[in-house]
Amino acid sequence: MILTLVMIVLFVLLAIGTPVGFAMAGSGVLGLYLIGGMAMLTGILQTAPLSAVTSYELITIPMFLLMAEFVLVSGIADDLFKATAAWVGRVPGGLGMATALAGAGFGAICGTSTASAATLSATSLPAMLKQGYEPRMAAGVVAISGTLAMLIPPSVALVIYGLLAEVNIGALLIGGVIPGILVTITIMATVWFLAWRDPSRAPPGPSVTLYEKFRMLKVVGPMLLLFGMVTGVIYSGVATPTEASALGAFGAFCLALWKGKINLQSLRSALLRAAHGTCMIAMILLGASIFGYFFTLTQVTQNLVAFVGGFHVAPWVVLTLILFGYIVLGSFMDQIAILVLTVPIVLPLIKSLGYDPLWFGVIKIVTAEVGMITPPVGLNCFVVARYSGRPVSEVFHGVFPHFVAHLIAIAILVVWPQIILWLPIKMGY
Amino acid sequence: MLDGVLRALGAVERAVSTIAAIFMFAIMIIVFSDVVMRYGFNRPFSWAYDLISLYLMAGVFFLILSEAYASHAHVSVDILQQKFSPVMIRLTEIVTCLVGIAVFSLITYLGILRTVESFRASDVMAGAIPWPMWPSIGFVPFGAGLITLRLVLHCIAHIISLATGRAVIALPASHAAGETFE
Repeated sequence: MILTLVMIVLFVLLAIGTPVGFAMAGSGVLGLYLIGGMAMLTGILQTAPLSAVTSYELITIPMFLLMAEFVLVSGIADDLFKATAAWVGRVPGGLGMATALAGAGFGAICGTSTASAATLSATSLPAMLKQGYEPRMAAGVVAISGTLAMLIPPSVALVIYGLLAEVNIGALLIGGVIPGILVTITIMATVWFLAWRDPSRAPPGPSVTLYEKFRMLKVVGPMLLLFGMVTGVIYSGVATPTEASALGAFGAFCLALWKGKINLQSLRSALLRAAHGTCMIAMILLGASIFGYFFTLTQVTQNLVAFVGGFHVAPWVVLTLILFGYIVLGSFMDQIAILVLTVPIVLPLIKSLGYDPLWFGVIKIVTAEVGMITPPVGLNCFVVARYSGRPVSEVFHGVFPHFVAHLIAIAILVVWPQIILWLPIKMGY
Repeated sequence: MLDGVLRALGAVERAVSTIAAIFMFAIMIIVFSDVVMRYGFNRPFSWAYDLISLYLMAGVFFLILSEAYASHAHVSVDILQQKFSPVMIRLTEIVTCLVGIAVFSLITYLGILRTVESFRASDVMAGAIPWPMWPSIGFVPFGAGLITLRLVLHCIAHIISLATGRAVIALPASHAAGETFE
């Protein structure tokens, strides 16, 4: 009874636009009060706010956000697309493929997909349109390529999953590498397919001399260095993910400094934006921790696991239903909010079905990528529409083939879990 | 009157959010130096871990909490809200403020009690360096108090806007148009 009431309060608050962290904290406070009275509530509220934000591993999130801000300030992302375009621009759908590659490269040094989509919108979209690309196809490939950043380490979303699921964050980040490559290939294949069906959609790019091609590769150096400073040191075990995130932020800061882009104004705005992002995520984690105390007391998770266990259906049926539910949720809800709301319930279920939590985390993030491009909310499509000045409906149309291709990629990852688990196991997961 | 208070609060928020930004930078520099000292010179900072998790992270979050709310950085599911009439949006904003006020005023009150208690008892962190606990605990009521004040002012401003039909405070923009971090 109390559970139903509190859940209704939570969903009403979410529906009327209360910030996710506030809604979870508010309904959690109500639930705790109804179950244990003022004594229990004060006991939890005395310690929860501080302990929710002072975990050492949480530092990874502000540092990844800061790294993304400094990478943006440095302007390296613009050069990245020019370089990939020079190399693959001449093949059918080449600029679209170059966008996917630039998205993957940017994803390897930036942990947030909206930052990535914004950058690609500013660089690759105008280039494709100038080349005579069909606008919807160009916008679609930009929106989907932006989502690669949440899968390829560094990834803020994977860190949040790791914190919630108590999975080794280093292994989790490394688990995103091969699926990231697979998804990049999927996007490129989709672009190739679209260009093959109708070559007029995607005229080839201008030819570039070999000398130019090699000259443009100089952008790859700093990019690989940053990638090595984060993913390399995590994989080799030289530093913890927390330390690696600070190394990455510092590396990106030096890069921006070297490019002459750091002044008091840009530094302040990068720090403030990263602090805003940190605050937003920590507020959701704080709300989730208060709500989590209530949820644990109701024992709803154990009951759910027992309930589903009583069905005697094959694990993959349950898994498919869960992933389908995630895509539906992702079409109208924020991905971080989805993680925080569902992981505490879904993860015990997944474990009881015999699946690996690390594997599920990566699958969840690929599913979240799909959510980022699904109407009506699909945030990346809005970001692309805003930066490019094209209608959102056009972006949603253009991204549809990628939506289908992504579902196939998810199926592949589900059928062959080794694709995700191979690298983490090699590093000792 | 309300305008003046909002402006004063804004000035305080800007000042403390600058401190939060400095803390952010400090975390980056300290963790980086710690790694360099450990691998380069085999002399890691013994104080880095406690300083960061005890003071700097708590500082970043609680010092910017209220300013982040004012800048609409707290993400919400606003797909339904954007379809509401302006009056309805103000009503939902008032509900949000009331929920926030209930939660954060309680956190502020309990936080003050705990900070005072910790200060009186001279609580310190168990470890090589006896860091005092109260400044860390004190961030909680400071940040929560600031956002409670901000929410009270927003609530009053929305009520006045509803009553007089004059927009004392702007309606929130769609979050697809604001800052996003995913």
